[in-house]
Amino acid sequence: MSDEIDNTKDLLSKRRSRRQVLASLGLGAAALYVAPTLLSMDQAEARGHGHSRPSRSRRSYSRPSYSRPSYSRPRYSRPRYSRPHYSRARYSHEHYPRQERYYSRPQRSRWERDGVIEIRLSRVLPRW
Amino acid sequence: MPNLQDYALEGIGPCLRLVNAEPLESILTAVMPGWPITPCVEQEKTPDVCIWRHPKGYWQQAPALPDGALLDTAVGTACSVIADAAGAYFYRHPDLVGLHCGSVEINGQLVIFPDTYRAGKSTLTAAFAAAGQRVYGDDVLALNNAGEGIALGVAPRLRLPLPEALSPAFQAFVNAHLGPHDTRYGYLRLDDTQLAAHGQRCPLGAILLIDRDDTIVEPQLTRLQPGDGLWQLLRQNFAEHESDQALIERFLPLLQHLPCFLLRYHDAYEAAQWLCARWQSDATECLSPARALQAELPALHSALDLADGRYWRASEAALTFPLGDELFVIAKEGGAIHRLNTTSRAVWALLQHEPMDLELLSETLASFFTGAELAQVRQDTAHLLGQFQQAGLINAIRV
Repeated sequence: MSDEIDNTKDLLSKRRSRRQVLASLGLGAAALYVAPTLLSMDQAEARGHGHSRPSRSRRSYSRPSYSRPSYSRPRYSRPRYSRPHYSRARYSHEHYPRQERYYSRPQRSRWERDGVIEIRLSRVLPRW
Repeated sequence: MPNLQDYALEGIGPCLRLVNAEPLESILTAVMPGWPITPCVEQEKTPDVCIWRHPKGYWQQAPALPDGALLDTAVGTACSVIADAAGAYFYRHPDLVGLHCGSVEINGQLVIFPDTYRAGKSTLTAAFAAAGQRVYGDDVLALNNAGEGIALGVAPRLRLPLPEALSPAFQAFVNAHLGPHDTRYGYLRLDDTQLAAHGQRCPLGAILLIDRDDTIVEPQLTRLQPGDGLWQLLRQNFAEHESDQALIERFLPLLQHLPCFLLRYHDAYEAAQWLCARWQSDATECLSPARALQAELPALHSALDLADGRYWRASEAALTFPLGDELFVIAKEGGAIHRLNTTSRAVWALLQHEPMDLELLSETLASFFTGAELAQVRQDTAHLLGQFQQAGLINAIRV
């Protein structure tokens, strides 16, 4: 009998402390239940190492790149006369050593990428 | 001898060389009217951005284009130079964060609308200009530690041809202000009352998420959770070298006081006029935050078995950042960022308090929340715990 009372007391005490935990979040007794959600974004993908594509289980995203117009890929379009002889040595690729490439962006222009809208905005939100 | 001219940009210094590409100078001046670009003496060290005239357009090399790029029009080349100039500007000013957003000044405060490409930022930015508001940018805005937006001084750029569905008044505004353009894009020619100059500052007043929808009859404005704004800023910034933890810590104080709204509209010009007429009126001030955005349902395979009897505890290594009713969690250094809504945050708090299993959690939630049905709560919680486990946010323990 005494054990039963102790167990009940313990149970009630634990319930009370759990309610206190929830109350500490600012949740009142009338808090409405909404389904729990967890949205995730991967930092590696955020650094532009991943592909931006929708995912059901994990929302991926890419940091944006600055707006740039579409341009031809050098391997397809770079003409032999693309740079005059006077400039070839002086302005060649070697003049952009890695340590001098001080800012970087994905080279793909933004309109070559798939757009990804990750937040599905409710159609039933309160309005005015 | 080639015609070679170097240029300096305000806030960056000498950074551009044009080789036989004189026509670009006037184009650049026109598309970045608020960002002074001045000829300077030939630099001993080659400027970072070099452009040569090319029979098929212009050839550009830049740190971000190590293999070079052939651009077929002067406007396209100017756009590419702006991209490099913005990158260089943020490199030179590491205290600033580059936000990918449209931004306009309304009543002395900046309203920013960060969104993905082709979401309508530029059109809405231009529409605000047509509605009499001052533009800070349609693509990039610098943000300082004081929560002020800083203009780069670049004109808005619209995709051409304009959709026929645009309102006649907006069409007329664009036609009257169309500056340098090619067949694909056109920059607006705005004066200094319509476009903020490079370096001009203005405190942020609100974040606007935009949703263009052809079925909308009248614009609608909804107050969102501050977490919606933070989530968007975390995705739409150019701070490639700053950790997301540092970014959250940077954005968090700003978001505590910055209202976040969802603007749904059909016509950008109508939306801009409509919003300006109501901005900071009682109508916007009394909008109560939406309870929750409807999220895409996560994959079901991650759910725990409903009979799972393991006890779980929240990972002690995780970093947490409360914002409004929500919680942002980074499980470990360099790891993913997780956004927990009210109920997920409650589960997280309970698992920080004591180890609990699925049933105990479900009973606790069902007895606490109004309108919670135990069977549904059990299913939702199983799903959430599965996601927590996959994300490394909780650990199973022996009791």
